[in-house]
Amino acid sequence: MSNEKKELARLVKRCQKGDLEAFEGIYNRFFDRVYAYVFRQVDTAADTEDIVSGVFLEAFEKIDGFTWKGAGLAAWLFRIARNDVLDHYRRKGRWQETALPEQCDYPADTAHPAEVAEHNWENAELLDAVKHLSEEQRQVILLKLMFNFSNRQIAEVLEKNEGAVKALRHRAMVSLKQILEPVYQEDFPRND
Amino acid sequence: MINDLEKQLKSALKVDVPLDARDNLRAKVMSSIEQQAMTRKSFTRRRRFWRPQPVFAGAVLSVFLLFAGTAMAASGSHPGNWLYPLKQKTEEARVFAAVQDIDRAGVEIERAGKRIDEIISVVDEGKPEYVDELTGRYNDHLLKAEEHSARAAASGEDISHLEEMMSAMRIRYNGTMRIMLDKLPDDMAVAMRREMGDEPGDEQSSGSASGTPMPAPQAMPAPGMGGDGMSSGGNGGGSMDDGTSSGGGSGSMDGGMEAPDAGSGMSPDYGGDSSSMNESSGAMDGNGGTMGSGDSGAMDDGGESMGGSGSAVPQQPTSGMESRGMGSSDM
Repeated sequence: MSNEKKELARLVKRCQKGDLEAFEGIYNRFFDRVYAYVFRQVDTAADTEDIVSGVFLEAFEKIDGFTWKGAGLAAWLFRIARNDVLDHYRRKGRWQETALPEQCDYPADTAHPAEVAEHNWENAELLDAVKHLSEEQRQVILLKLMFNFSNRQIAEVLEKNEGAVKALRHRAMVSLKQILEPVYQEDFPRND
Repeated sequence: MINDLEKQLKSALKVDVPLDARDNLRAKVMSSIEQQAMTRKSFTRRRRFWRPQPVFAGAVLSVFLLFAGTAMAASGSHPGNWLYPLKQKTEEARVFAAVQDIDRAGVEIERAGKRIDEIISVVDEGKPEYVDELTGRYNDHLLKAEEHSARAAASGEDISHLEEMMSAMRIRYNGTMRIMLDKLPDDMAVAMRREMGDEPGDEQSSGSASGTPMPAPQAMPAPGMGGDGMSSGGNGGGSMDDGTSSGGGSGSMDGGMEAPDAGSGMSPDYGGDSSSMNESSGAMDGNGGTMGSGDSGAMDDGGESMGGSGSAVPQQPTSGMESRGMGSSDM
């Protein structure tokens, strides 16, 4: 067990005994990541703050039931966050799934990856592309690329197995490429 | 391409969390959590306090049920049974719990009654070897009851009801023993009669004195009782047909009253008859001096007429209890 994990285990134990300072320690350790994770999904600071505060309050309520049997505290916390974001959209009634198919291969006329790699997309284009992913694909991308979560951790957040996470990640990247391809074509039309 | 795309995505997905938002939100979250913690702490405390309670309550209940069940089982035990010592201890605890002498006397009398029940039990179960021990215990209980009563009387308490209870208990004991003697092995019965000063020879003389057929078991004196009164009562009882009235050979009214029932083989439970006995005794008080022809004769009503052998001269009671309850010697 790493030092970080040991320290987290101590904090959780203290927190389960009602130590508020310990919970503040957990808050300080995870606030930035949870905030960023939520913000990337709801975009507005006001909604993010509401959801993040709700996430930590819920975590405090449920900390007694937390055990180290799963993928760890981060995965447990992000699962709460994910569900809160979903609840947020359900309440607002404007949750939209992407229209892109779950399964897609590289089309025949896709540009060579090497060519695509040379292109630097604008952040806005990339973020917009991510928004077009399915909710699960987006989760994989966010958790993997923003926080470098392991497949196991992501699997716990999504309540899926690791194989499904791998598949989701692959499909997410293919989808992103598909989404971004037209942008690339517009900027650099092929001469053939 | 994928790797580059991922790198660019990583960069694009970065979020700079505003410092003020972090601090403001921390204050907001921690404030809410503190409020929640207040509730949670009390809940936790309550839960920690209550959580073991069902277990504790269950344990207490189990112990109580176990004890109650054992005590109940013990209450029906008799010498030779492994629960009998518990029964004794429970009774002793009751005596100890009774604060006043008058109450303790009552408990001791009750214990004496239980010993009589046990005598019946052990004899019926073919364990006469315990009769001796139980008789001894019975005597001890009544002696203690007398001591407590005497103390209570000394402190100005009205102990008349205790005297009546003790009197009734002695009558019951005598009746019981009369019946039990038949069931005891011969050697034990003889020894018991001898111990009670009720030798066959005495029966003979008594019987002839009364001039009536002898009942098989002779009335036995209760501990501390006047032996004459009881034995003569037994003689008188033998002559009674209706079993409700008697004439004692010695003219003892109480002895005369108790003998018929025992002689007629009725259950020797005299506990509830003490008042009627005393009433009869009271009737005799008025007549005893003039009655007593030396022949018991046949009686119509023990309360109104009786035969006595002339022991109308009042005798000194051996104790206050006897003089009142049994009245065996004061007629």
